[in-house]
Amino acid sequence: MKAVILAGGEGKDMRPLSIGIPKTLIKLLGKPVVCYVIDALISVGISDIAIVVGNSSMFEHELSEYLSKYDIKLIEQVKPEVEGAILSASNFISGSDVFLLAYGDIIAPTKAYEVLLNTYISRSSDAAILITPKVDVETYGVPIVSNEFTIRSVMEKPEAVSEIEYAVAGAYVLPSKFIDLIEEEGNVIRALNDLSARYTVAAALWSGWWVDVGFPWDLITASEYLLSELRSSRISVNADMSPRAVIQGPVIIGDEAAIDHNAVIKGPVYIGEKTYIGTGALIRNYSSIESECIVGAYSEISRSVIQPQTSIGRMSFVGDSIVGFKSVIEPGVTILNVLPSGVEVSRLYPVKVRGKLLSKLGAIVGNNCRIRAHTVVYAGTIINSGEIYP
Amino acid sequence: MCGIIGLVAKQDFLREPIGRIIKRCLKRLEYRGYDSVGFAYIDGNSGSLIVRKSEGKIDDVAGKLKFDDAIGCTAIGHTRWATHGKPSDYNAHPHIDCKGLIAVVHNGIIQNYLELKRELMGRGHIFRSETDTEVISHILEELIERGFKPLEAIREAFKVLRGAFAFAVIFAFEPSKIYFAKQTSPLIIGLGSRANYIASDIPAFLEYTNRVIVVRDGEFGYISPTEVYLESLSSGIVDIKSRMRVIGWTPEMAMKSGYPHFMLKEIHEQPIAMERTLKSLTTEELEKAIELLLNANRVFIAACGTSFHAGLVADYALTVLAGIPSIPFISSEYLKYSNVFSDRDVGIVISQSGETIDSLMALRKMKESGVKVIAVSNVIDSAIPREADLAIYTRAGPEIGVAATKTFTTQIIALLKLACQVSGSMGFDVEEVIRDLERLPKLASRIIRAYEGKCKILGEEVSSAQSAFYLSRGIGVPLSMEGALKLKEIAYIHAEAYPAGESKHGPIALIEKDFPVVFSVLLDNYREHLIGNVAEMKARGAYTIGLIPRGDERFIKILDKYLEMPHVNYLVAPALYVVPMQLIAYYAAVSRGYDPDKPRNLAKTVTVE
Repeated sequence: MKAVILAGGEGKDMRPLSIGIPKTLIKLLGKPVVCYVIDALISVGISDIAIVVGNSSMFEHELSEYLSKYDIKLIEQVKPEVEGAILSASNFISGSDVFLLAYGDIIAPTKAYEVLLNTYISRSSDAAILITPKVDVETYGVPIVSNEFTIRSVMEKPEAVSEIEYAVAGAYVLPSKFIDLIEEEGNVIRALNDLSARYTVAAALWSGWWVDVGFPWDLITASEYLLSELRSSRISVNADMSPRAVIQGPVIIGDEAAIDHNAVIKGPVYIGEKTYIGTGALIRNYSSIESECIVGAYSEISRSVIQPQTSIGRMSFVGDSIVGFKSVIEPGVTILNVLPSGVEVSRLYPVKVRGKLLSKLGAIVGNNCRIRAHTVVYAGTIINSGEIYP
Repeated sequence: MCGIIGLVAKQDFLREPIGRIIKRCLKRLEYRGYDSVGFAYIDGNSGSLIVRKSEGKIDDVAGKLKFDDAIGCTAIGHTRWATHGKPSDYNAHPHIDCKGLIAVVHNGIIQNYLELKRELMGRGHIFRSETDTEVISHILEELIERGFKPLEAIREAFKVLRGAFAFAVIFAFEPSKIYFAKQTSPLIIGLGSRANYIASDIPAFLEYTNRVIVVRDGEFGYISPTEVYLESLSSGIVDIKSRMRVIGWTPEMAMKSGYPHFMLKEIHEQPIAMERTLKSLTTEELEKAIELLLNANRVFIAACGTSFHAGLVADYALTVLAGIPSIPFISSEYLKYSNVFSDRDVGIVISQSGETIDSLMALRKMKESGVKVIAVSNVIDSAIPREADLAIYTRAGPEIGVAATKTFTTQIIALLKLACQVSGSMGFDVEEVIRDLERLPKLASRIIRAYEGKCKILGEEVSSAQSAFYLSRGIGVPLSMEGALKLKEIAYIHAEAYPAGESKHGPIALIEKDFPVVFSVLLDNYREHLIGNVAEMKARGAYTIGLIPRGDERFIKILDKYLEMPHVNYLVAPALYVVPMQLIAYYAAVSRGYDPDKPRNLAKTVTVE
C-alpha cells in the first residue's frame, strides 16, 4: 500500500514557533514531528511513502537519513490548502487501488495505524477513517457514525455538536478515486462526505493517546506522552556526566551532552546532543531539551519543550513553556506558569496540583528571540520570533 | 460467528500432514467459536473426499479427529459457534451433499434456509443436520447434476441464498480447487508461493503468508495452488493484482475487527448483541420458564461474579413486577440452602460460559432436591443448560475479553423479559418496561457515541485513585456492584459498591479529599434520597461523578462530573447505565498501561471450585 503524508501546512496556529520552519519539522525528543508518522508507517510495513511539503530543501536536510534509507519521495505542494496537497500527490497515487493518507502533525503510537489498517481489512470496507474519543471536538473534524460504526459524514470544526465525542484522527485508508472526488468537489470534507455516501467507510476507533500538534502547547502534551512511555534510561557513553549529578527516573541523554556538578535531573526527561546542563540546575519531569542548548547554573526547567540551540541563562525559571530555536533567555528570567482562573485556552487541560485544578501555561517563545535579564514573563505570554522582550 | 479456513497446496509442497496445518489455523480462529470443529480433505492416496468432525473444543477432540493422519493437498476446516442447531457431531461442519462429493464450511446465517430446505427435501434430498449450512451442499449437488460446472454452480447458488454468509467448498471431482463466496461475513484470501489460503480472518494463515486479498460482498471464485480467480456478481471478473495487500503488522491485533482490545470491541458490540437477544426471546421460548415461575414455592437465583449482579437485577424485577421475591445467592455459597431446597422450588442459574464450576455444583445440589432449574447462558448446550430443566440463551456471540460486558447487558435483557412476561401473565401492566427494553439497543449505541470522550477522561482521572465507591439505591445497587467489579478486575483499583443509605453506617469514614464516588441516579423513588447522599460525600471532599437522568438540575448543581442519561424505566436502566461504567473502567485500565483483555489472576471460565 502507498502512503501520502501531508506536511505542507503553514501551521498558523503554531505561530510563532512555525516562523522560519515548517510545523512538522519542529523537534520532539530529538526527531522532527513528521518522523513519528514515518516511523509508524514503516513499522506497519508501508514503505512506499510520499511526503507533500511546502519547501523540499528544508525537508531534504532534516530527513536526509530517512531519505537515504527508505523509499520516500518528497513532493512539493503546488496548490494551497489540504485539497491542493492531496492533489499534488495524484501522480504518486495513480495506479494503486487504495492509499493511506496521514497527517504529518499527528503524534500517536504505531498501534493507532495498526487499528486503522486492521479495521479496513477485517471489516472489508471500501475505506476507513481513524477516529478517537475527544470531548472538545470543536477544534477537530467530527465524524457522524452509524449504529454499525461506519462513517456517515464528517463535519469540520463544528461549533456545537451534541451526542458525538469522537474526533477524526488524521489517518485514512482511501480508494484512489478519492482524488477525483476532491477534484469534483474542491473540498476535502465534501469529498469525504461523498465517499461516505457512496461507499462503506469504516470507523476505526483508537483508544490510546493521540495528539494533533496544532497549537504550541500541544507540543508539551505530546512530549509528556512520549516521555511517559520511556521504560529505561539511555545515556550516551560520550556524554560528560558529572559524578555528582543526580539522576532519578528514566532519562535520555544524547551524545556529547554535558551534565555539570550537582545538576538534578528528575525523569522522564530528554536531553539532546551537545546540550549543556549547568551546575546546580534542576530539570524536572516531562522536559524535553533539544540539541546544542545551554541551561545555565541554578536554572530550573519544568514540563517544557526547548528547541535546538537555545540558551537559558543562570538562575532562570522556565515552566510549562515552549521555547523556539536559537533563542536566548538571559540570566534571572522568571516565567510565571499559572493562568489566572477563568482563562480558558482550547486544548489546554487543567492539571491537578495538590488537589487543586490549575490551568498551567508559561510562555510561548518564538525562534531567534531574546528575553532580557531579570524579566518576569507572565503566564500565557507570546513572544514573537525575532523579538527582543521586553 | 464461526471460523473457516481452506488450504490448497502443490504436490509435495507441504512438509507435514495437511490436517496438522488445518488444526493450527483453526486454533487461531477459535476465538470466533469453539463448540465444535471439523475438516474435510482430499486424501492424498485415494483421491477421495474425507470428512471428520466432532462436537467439542479443538484440543479436546484432536485425538478423535486424528488431524495428523490427514495427508493431502486440499482441505477446509471449521470451528463453530452454534446458531442453528445445538452443538453436536451432526451439526458440526463441513456439511456434505447426498453423495458425499461436496463438502461445505460456512460462517454466517442463511436467512431463507427453511424454504430452501423444504424444497430440497421435497425433491428427495436427505438432510443429516439441523443447520442452515447444509442447504448449500444440496443446492450445489443439484446444480452439478443439472450440468453446471462448479464455478457456475457457485454463481447460481449465490444468487439463491439470502443472508449474511461466507462459505468455502471442496468438490471431490475438482480436487485441487477450493471454491468460495462471500456476502457480509468476512472472508480473506492468502497468497502463498505454491499454496493459497482462504479464511475468515488473517491471523489464521499469517504464519504462512502475509499477502492477502480481502474478498468483498457479492464476490465468489476459487483458489488453486497457483491461481486465484475472483468474480463479482455485479461487475464480472476482478483484477486481483490491484487488490493484493501486504500485512506488515502483528497477527494478534488483527483478530479484533480493528479494535485495539477485545473488551472495547465487545463494549461496542452491545447494541447488536442486545438486538439479537431481544429478537430471539419469543413468548414461546419463555413459556415454560414462565409457567415454572408462576407455580414456584420459592425462587432461588444462583450465579457468580457479573452473572450474580444480573441475578440481583432479576430478583429486583421479579419482586417489583410480579410480586415474586427470590433468594439470590453466590453459587459457591450454596451449602447454606442445601437443606432448604425442595421439589416445589425453582432455581435460576446464570452463567455466561455455562461451565462455571461453582454454579454447576449449586445446580446439581438443587437438582438432587428436585428443584426445577432454569439456566441462563450464552453458550448453547454447555454443561449448565444441559443439566438444567430448561435453558434461556443470550445471543451475545462469543465473548473473549475476560471482563464480562455484552454478556451482562444481554443477561439483564433476557431476565427482564422473563420477569415482564411472568408479570404480564399475572395480569399486570408491563408495557412501559417492555417498550424501554426494545429501545435499549438504540439508546446504548447513542450513549457510546455521545459519551466515549467523557468516559475516557473520567477513566484517566479515576486511574490515579487508590479506591473508589459506587453508590446508588434500589436496582441501582447491583448496577453499582457491576461498575465497581469492572474497575477492580481490569484497572486494579480497589472499588466497592454500597447502597447509598448504608454509607453513613461505616464506609463514609474512608472518604477523603478527591476520593472518587460514582452515583447512579435512576428514575425511581430513591432519587430524592440520593441528593442527600451526594451532598454528604461532597461535604467530605469526595470527587463525585454521577450518571443522572437527563436534565435533573438538582444533581447537575452538586456533582463534580455528570453524564446525563436518557429517561428510561428504572428496571431497564442497569443495562444502559453500565455501558459508561464499562468504558470508564476500560479507559482507566488503558491509561494505567494494563491490558484489559488479560487481567492478572483471572480466567474467562472458572472451572475450579
